[in-house]
Amino acid sequence: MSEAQWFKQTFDAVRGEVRKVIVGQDAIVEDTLVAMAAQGHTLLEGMPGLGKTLLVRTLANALSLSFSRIQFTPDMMPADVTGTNILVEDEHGHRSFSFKRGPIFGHVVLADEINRATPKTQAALLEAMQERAVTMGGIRHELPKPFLVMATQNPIEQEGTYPLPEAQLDRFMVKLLVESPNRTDLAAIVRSTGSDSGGTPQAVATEADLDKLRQIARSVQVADNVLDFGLSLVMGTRPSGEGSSAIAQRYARYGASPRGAQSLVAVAQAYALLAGRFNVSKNDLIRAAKPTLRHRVGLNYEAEADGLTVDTLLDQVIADVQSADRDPIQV
Amino acid sequence: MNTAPFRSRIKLVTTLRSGIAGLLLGGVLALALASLMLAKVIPADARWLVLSLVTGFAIGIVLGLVKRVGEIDVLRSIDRRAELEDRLTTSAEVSQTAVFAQPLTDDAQAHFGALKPKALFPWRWSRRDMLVPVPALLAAGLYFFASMPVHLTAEQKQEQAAMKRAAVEIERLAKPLIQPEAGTELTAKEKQLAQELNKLQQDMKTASIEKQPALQKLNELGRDSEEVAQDRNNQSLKNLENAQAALAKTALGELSKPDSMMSATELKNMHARQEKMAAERDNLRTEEETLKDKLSDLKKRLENSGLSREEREKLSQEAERLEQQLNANQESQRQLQAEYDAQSLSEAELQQAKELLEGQEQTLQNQKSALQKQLDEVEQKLKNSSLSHEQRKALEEAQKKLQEALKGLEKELAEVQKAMQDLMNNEKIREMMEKLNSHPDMQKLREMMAEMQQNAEAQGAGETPTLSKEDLEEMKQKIAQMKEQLEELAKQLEDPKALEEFIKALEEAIKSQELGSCAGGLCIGLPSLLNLPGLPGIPTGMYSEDKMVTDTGSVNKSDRNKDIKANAATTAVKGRRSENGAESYIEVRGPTSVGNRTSVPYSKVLPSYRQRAEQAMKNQKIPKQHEKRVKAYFDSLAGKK
Repeated sequence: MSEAQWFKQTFDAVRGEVRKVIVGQDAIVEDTLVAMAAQGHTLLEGMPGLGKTLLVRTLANALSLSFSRIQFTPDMMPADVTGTNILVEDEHGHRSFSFKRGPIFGHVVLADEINRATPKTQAALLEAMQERAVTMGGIRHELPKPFLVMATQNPIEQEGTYPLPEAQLDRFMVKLLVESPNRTDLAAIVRSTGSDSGGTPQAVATEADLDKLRQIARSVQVADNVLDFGLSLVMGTRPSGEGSSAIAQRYARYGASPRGAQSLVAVAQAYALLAGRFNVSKNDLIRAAKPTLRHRVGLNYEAEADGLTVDTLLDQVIADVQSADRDPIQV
Repeated sequence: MNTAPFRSRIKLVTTLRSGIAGLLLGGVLALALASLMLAKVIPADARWLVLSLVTGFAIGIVLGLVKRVGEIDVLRSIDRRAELEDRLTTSAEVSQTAVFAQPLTDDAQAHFGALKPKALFPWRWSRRDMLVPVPALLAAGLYFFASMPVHLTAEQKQEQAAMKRAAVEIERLAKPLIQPEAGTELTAKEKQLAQELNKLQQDMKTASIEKQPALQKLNELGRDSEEVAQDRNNQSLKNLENAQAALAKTALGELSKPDSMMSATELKNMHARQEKMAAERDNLRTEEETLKDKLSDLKKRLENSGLSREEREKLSQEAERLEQQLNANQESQRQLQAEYDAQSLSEAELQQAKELLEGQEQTLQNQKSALQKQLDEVEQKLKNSSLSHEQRKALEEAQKKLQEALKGLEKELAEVQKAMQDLMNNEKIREMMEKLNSHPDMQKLREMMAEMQQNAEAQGAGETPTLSKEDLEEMKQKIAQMKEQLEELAKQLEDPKALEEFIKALEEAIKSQELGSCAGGLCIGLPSLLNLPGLPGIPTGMYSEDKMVTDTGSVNKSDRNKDIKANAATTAVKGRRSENGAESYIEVRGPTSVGNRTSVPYSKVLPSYRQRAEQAMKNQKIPKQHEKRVKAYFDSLAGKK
């Protein structure tokens, strides 16, 4: 079996297990799996009660990964996330400080309603998400591998919420918008409630498999003109400078960072493999554009005044880049 | 992956599309031109419209052919058109050491193999292609509308019709230039003129040029045509003149040479000098009479005894002075008379006139034949219908000139023939000739001269004498003089004794080769007058040898009057230098033209002759090596004195 086939088989197996628990939300499931395969953090945005926590937990189970959940509240302290040194006394009566690991020490960490915590607490996640380590009392504590943060946030502005800073958002590989289920899915959800017909997800992959998935995905080839197309998408989100699009110039406050370009290509590579190809196509990039770039673009007041969303801006940027990408043979 | 079929297909479609785009642009240009034609800004000419379309299409085709198609561009295009999700492009770029290099290549190949070039790069008529005929059709419509007379006024229609007629006329006139006859070589100027005429007549025929510019152009070309025709005429006339000059040179060349002996100019000068001398002689005679009167009066006064000694001496001196003046006067008269006699024509010179007239007649006949021939040629050319107006005009002018020249020539010929007739019709002269010819000794003289002529003929070939118009005029005057002199000679020879002496003198002169002289091939002497064969060195006719007595190394002279039984004196010593440097001369020593007519002793005229000879030597008219001979000659004459 080739690596590509193994990738797809494993991916399908995990997805199958998730589907046992999650009704509908196929795109969210796939994109979440893709982000995991690329070993990127995921920000899930949607109304409460849409199965976000269940999704993350199911994924952790299917991949045989440890799972921890942090419910962010305004009074939460950073130590509540990372852990803290506590004074302990041994059997001989000697007292010493010992590090008590916080909930962040897990393979899959669910940061539920992350925007309810204060910026100080949110910042506790910064080092963990980027360095995959926690420093406490001058001692660096490595986080388990793989380490994946799955954060959720409520899109509706509520009292006592603190929007995530740009630096924090940039550390999420993708931001997925969890939509409300349609009638069919909702009906299925309702019917399955209170019954055991859904089944329990089984572990179909290991930590090592997840690392292998990442390596295989990174091997997918990207042609120069395809990469150029992806860069055009990224640069098109910038309000100024080379390659900025007209709409971004008008409505964007800031555009996607280099980390956004990396995320775009990484997700597109996973999409290519899932499509049975060994090369990234422009369509893969287009598909990956919104999940990877929407949380990296900040809109200005004019955009808010005009009711423009980031996804609308990205749609226009994609259209602009596509129209500029013409057939080199005009016959 | 073999993309060659795709590239060929792309090239084909690109070229066609480029050609159509060029055709469209050409159509737009043609439309613009047709609009200008309709507005009469430029002349209506369909060729410009066609040229615009063809040029646009050709340029488009060429640009399509030269346009390069890159390999990676072909792959990218195929990826897009076949929706291969950038498989081919990535496969072409991927390194062979990459993880998925082989599967990627295999995947690309699998998808590429089923593709068809024609399906991916089909020929489709675009909206732009559909527009191609529109400007071309519009241009054609505008052109035809511009060409149609419907929008023209009656006056404009008449103008166009007139232009077309003029074009036909131009075509006819320019035909010899535009389509020259085989063998006719046109000059560069003529070729250019032909091209411009052709273009103008085409423009006028299609009415694609307006009247005003057409007339202007026609005027310009007309001037050029006149220049060309003038050049041609000049050339023809030049050729004609050259031919005439060659003819004249043949006939008249020798006589026109300045060193010719007894040229017509000399004859004219001689006549003028004679008149001048006659006037001087009259003056001298008047002066002589006056001096004689004065001297007689003076002598009468001297005879008067009442004069004092001083007065007597004074009168004696005055008388002596008058006598000296009288002697000088008489001496001058004698010299003048001698000079006058020397200027008079001899019998030989009379014969020269006759031969001159004969030669002139022959020359004129030759010239007439040559002119008639040229006239025939010109008339023949005029019959050629393909001649242009200018050529015909030039030929007609040449014909006119030839006819005038021929007419003048015939007139001159008639005059010469009349003069000849007058000369020969003189009764006295005819009688004298018959008398001389019937004399028994004349036969003997003829035999002697025939023998001498044979010897002379061996010395070289003759040259053709020539005459100038000036010579002819002179000869007409000379004929009148000759007639008078011959009549006088006939009168003198009426006495049988005088006739006997004349023949003896003639015989002596023949024996000493001292008879006759020639000038420029025109011989003056009794031999031809008396039907005698020519003397050595003395031509027998107009076209005979023009050589004189060869150099004997000494002065060939004889002043013994008793030897020649006549009042003989040296009448002329003349010479000339030929073109090859050889020199010849003749001394004519014999009876004067009128026998004993000369009454002045040579000692009287010797000083003036000697002065003239010295002047001639000073002016280098006498060859260097003969100067001594001339000096010796005059010294010998002076010694006798």
